[in-house]
Amino acid sequence: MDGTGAAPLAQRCFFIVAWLLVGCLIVQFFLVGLDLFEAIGESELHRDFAYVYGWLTPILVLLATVAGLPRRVLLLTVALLVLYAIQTYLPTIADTLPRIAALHAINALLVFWLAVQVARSVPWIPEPGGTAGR
Amino acid sequence: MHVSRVVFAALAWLFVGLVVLQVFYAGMGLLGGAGMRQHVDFGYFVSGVPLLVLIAAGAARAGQLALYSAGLLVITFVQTALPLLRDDLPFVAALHPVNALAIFWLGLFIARRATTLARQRVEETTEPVQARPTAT
Repeated sequence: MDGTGAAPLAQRCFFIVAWLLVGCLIVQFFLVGLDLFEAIGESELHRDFAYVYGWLTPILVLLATVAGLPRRVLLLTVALLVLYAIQTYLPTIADTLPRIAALHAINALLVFWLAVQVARSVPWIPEPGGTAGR
Repeated sequence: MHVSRVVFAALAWLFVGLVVLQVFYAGMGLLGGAGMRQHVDFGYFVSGVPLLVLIAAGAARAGQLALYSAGLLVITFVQTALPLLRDDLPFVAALHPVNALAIFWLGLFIARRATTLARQRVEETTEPVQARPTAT
């Protein structure tokens, strides 16, 4: 597969993965509720699910690079990866730095907002002579 | 009219800020060891603000934004009711965080649109003032 064929395919994969991530985040918010209100007894669905879809963020960075997406989109995608990594780290410091760990909820809003911005930044069909390769 | 649109935008942004603070209180309750009392009490206070946003939208004649503001009022009211269902309908109560996301998103949408609306009015009202010296 040559470079001109790989970039549009990578862009379409980026589009799918980005919106899949947004969907997973919405499900993740619902799982918080299930755990909080003990709808299915005591569970850690929220924590476990985070590790299921967490790998989507590094894949997005990889796809953005292969697709040759504009620098702005690539930076947003890297920022999303960083914020997501912070998000998984924050609960682990709940005992030592509880006030910092409490930012987990606000950071969740940020992650979601950024994920939507990333997903909306790339069209399904690559624009002719457009974003890819810039 | 211009002042009412600025007030509308200011109230909408105030609401977004309060929602962010409320989410922080949720985090403090869950991971900060502060308990959920602050989150609950502050939630009842915040839930009143969309009514002010709606009134301001009406005064600003914000058109479709007034409808969105009414929607914001409804989902904020629903938000305060959801935790009360935890015993009878726990799966419905579990929508509390998802609805919080919707409130944040709709609040942000209204605030950004209201700001655009207020800026439009500023441009319209300042243009004649700027043109006056050359006209006289």
